[in-house]
Amino acid sequence: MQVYLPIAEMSVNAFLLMGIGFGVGWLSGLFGVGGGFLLTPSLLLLGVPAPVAVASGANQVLGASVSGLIAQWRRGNVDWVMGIVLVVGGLIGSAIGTQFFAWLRTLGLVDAVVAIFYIVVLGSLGSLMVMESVRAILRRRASVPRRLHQHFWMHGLPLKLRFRKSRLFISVIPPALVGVVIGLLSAVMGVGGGFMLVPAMIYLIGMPTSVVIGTSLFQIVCVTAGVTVLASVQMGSVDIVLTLLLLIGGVVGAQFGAALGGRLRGEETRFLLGLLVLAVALLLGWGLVEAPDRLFSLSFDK
Amino acid sequence: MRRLLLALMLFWALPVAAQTPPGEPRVVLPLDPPLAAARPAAAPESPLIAHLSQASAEISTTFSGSSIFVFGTSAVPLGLDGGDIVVVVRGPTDAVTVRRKVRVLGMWFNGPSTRFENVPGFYGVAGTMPAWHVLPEDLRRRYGIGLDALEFQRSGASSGNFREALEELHREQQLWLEDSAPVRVEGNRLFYVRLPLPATVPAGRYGVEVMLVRNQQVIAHQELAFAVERVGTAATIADVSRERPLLYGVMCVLLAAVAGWLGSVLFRRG
Amino acid sequence: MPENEARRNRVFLVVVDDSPERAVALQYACLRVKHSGGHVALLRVLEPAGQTEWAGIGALMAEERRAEAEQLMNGLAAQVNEITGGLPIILIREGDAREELLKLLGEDPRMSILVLAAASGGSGPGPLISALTGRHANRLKVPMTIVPPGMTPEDLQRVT
Repeated sequence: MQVYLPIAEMSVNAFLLMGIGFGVGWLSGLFGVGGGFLLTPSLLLLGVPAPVAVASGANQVLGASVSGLIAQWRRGNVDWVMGIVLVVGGLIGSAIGTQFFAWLRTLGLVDAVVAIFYIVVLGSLGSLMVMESVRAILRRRASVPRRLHQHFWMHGLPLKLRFRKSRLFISVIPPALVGVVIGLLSAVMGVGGGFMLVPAMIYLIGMPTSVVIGTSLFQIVCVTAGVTVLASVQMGSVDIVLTLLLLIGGVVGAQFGAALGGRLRGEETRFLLGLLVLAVALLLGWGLVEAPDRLFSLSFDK
Repeated sequence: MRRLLLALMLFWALPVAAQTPPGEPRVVLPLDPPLAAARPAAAPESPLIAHLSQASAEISTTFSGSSIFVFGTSAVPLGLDGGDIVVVVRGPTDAVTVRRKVRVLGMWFNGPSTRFENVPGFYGVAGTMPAWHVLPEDLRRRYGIGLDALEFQRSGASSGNFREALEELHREQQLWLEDSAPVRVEGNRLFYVRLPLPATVPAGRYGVEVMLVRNQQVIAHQELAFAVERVGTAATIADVSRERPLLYGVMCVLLAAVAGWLGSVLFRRG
Repeated sequence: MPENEARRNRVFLVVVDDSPERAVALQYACLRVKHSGGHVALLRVLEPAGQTEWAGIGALMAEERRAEAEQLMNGLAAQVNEITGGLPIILIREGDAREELLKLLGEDPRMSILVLAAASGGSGPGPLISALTGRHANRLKVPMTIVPPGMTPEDLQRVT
């Protein structure tokens, strides 16, 4: 069934889009990953223009994260104060990212730069996942990385605030900076950024793991909402038809993935996920290196 | 356009006989005298009457292309040794940037670019004979009849085949057509042509210009208006996104949130 | 006497959740043990740890939750010891609270009485009591005592 995507201005098979959504949702249910970092590249490989793929990807991540946030909120696992600091940083970062994106568009470099961002991020993410799981398979159990005792350098910073739920009394500068970086990534790549946010919250900010997932979901929902609105205002690049088709597949896939999670989880499947991430990075890299079919391209001022 | 009309009017002022080379049969223009006398003398009858089968085409989500059908009659016999018909369709114009890829560190990036102003999103020319065959070069250039006669104000990189690429890419998508289908003639007087519109044509006002050409001169000319409209849900979505981007963005946030939440409630397993 | 021995071996199971009622249930169970013998068992059910891209972080999460639960249980065990003079049985499980509770009652024959305290709010006595007195009542393997809301320590002393 072909549908016409009004903003991407192309016809695609609706079942193909729902299938992509399902696959990514399934993985996210299985591993608890956000999935945005696989979704946007899939759209790019499908030929969706990069601005539309990124903005609609961010919009999809928002939809896919809402129910998780509600569940975490009910269990009281959200540190709202920390969340607000992260969100303020995230919105600043996504505003900068959107400007950067719009500037790239005037140069005609959006596709290439988005691809490079993905190659770097997916390349590192995939390698780390593969290495981590290989090490764990050899040792037969996941190693528990120790918290670094990093608090000494944060004690010197001003603007200290008490984060009751995280049992922290620290400066707002480190979490705000973490938020800025994640917001930037979110605007340029159309991801939630949980794969970087969660480790940063634990190892850089020093939050207890019990509130990390809920608080990161709060940041992801708010920042992807910000990216959606900014991209819409600045570039008109959010395709709601695309988003909703991906979401339909995504929520169903996530339930199947979560149901399977208990049995399939483990280092071997995580190893395969790492390989998949690396494969996507390689495909995008090939797209940049391969001699183009056409030397020339047209772009219309909108 | 105004200049063209002026030229045509000047042309009309000259006696027809003077335009006809000696030895050729004189063509009686435009109609039988009794009928012509019944009409106001101030508006001479045109030897050309052209029409469109429909004044608009609609683009919807399931749009798979449409066409413009132009037909009409000529008082001058058409065909060999007679008149010729040339039809030019021009779509709405927009600025277009052409970019050329260059290789940097083994990767291909968009490099130099040229911006062309007022580029028609659709351009089609058709004739009983190719336009370059029946019209002198300078006239064709002046009125932009034929793809090679289209000239644009440009800025940016000047070297490189940007103008050629602009034409090539538009032709590939069938947005620019030259003599893709000839204008057909029935009984020396009736002519018709169907110009295909691909699914990617821009929406807006189109101008259809029909010319009757004889002896390297345009002896009659008619302008017809055509509109391509976007209809259906997809068009509405695109319009809202363009005209109310903030509202649209907020709607996208709410829709995605509700869909995500509802979906997880509906499809919850176990 | 066998009757006395059975009395000494009976176990009052208290579910340690994060509600304010757990203190009332615990108090009741301790006083019953103190006045008429038996043991207290404490059950803590952890939600399954959240998943992330990183296996290491998943493991760290599981470890921190376990450590947190153990700390909480040690504190409660000290309270139990203070009142009853004996140490409680400490049980930590992972999963859904209701399912794990029912599974434990089915598996562990030592459990004799389940002690729950009802919430005083308008939104019902609490999810566990609602489930075990309603839809899942037939799956319960031992008698259940429900401590009503609003009982003062003196009331508890009196009824135990």
